[in-house]
Amino acid sequence: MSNWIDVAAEADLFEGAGIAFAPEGQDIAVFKLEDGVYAINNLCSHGNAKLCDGFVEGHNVECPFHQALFDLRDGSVRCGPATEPAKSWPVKVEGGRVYLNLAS
Amino acid sequence: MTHHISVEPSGLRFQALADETLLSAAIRQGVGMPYGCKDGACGSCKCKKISGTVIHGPHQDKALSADEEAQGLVLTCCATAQSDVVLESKQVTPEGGLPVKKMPVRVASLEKKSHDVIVLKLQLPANDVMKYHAGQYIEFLLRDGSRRSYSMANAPHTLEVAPPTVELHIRHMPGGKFTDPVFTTLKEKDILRAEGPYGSFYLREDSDKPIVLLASGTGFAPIKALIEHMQHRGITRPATLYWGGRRPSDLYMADLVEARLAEMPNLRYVPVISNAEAEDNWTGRTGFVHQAVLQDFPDLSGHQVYACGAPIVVDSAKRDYVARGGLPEEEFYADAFTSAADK
Repeated sequence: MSNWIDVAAEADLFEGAGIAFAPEGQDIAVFKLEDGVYAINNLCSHGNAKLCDGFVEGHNVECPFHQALFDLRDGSVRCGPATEPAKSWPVKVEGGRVYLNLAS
Repeated sequence: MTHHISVEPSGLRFQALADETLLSAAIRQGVGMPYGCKDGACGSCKCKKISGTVIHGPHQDKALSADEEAQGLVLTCCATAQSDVVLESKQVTPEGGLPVKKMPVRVASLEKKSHDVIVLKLQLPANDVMKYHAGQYIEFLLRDGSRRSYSMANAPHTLEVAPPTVELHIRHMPGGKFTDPVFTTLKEKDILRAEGPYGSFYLREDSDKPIVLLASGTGFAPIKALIEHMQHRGITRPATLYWGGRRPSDLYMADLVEARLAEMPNLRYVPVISNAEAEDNWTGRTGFVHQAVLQDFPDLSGHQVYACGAPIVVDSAKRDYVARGGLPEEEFYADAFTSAADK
């Protein structure tokens, strides 16, 4: 039984930035970096901001509204004002498709 | 107490109660004003107040500085009306009706075309590619919350070739917080943030009037998009391009224009130079570009004029063409770039 959901073509990702996808009613930002693909909840855990609109610095994304920093690898807060981590989702790329595990 | 709010240039209207923000009132009545955080932090809802009085609730300085507030800018998400208010917001303009979207863009190439002009090509995300009309512009979202507007210089049909790429013409404003980096540190593969499309500067295809295209400096960018679009659509209305610069090198794509002339029998080209030096060996038209148009077309009553460039050129052109050339005011098309001195 596989919980991997096909959410996008790999070509829809944009290296160095986040692109939002909405599998099964979720709002998830998928980031392609030099060393891999990461997925975290798109909505900032602090304000009403979309993390896919943030600038990426190294492995962190900066919330566009209040400049909180989240680590894309696990969703953890690297810098306030956010205090809650952003939920991180398992992601894999196979055969040119991007899959998320929404059951995790 | 209820106040009447209207939004130019669309003319959309709604009512605001004394205890609700302009944005909440607009949303409640189905008027699509732009917004982001609804919290005075992001500045996405910032727009110009043409008349009336508002009071701002708490907000961040980077979203709306005291200077901006003094200049009459408002954040609709934290402003309440104290009187009837007229706002200006291009984003609610129903014309065209193309969705405005935020997106990351990647630098595909930077090519210096003259001492102070760079042609910047940006790759767009391939999913849900931005749609725009030839002549429209995008805004760069800078990290400090400010924005910089640049017109797409390529026609939208060119995005059908992968990867989707837009071309912008950037003039260096020394000391500018956007153009300084473009001319020094920006490099291929860098990521910028942009939002668009904006603007009501696009070809009115329901007219068959002859066209005057007026460009000064990098105001050529959207004009180039219009020309590409006309060629692509097989529009054969007579069109005359007047492109002005101080020196011949300011007409940084003259070769490209010459190439279009060979392919488009309906297109004419009049380059106009205002400050030629002896070494330029300039033998073409001299003087101010907007005046050259009136010399050639003393009667503009049956024309459409599309103008882009320095505000002084665009403003003078509109004034003179309407007053002296008989051009109907509504047939003068220009986007009001305040050419925000890029400081």
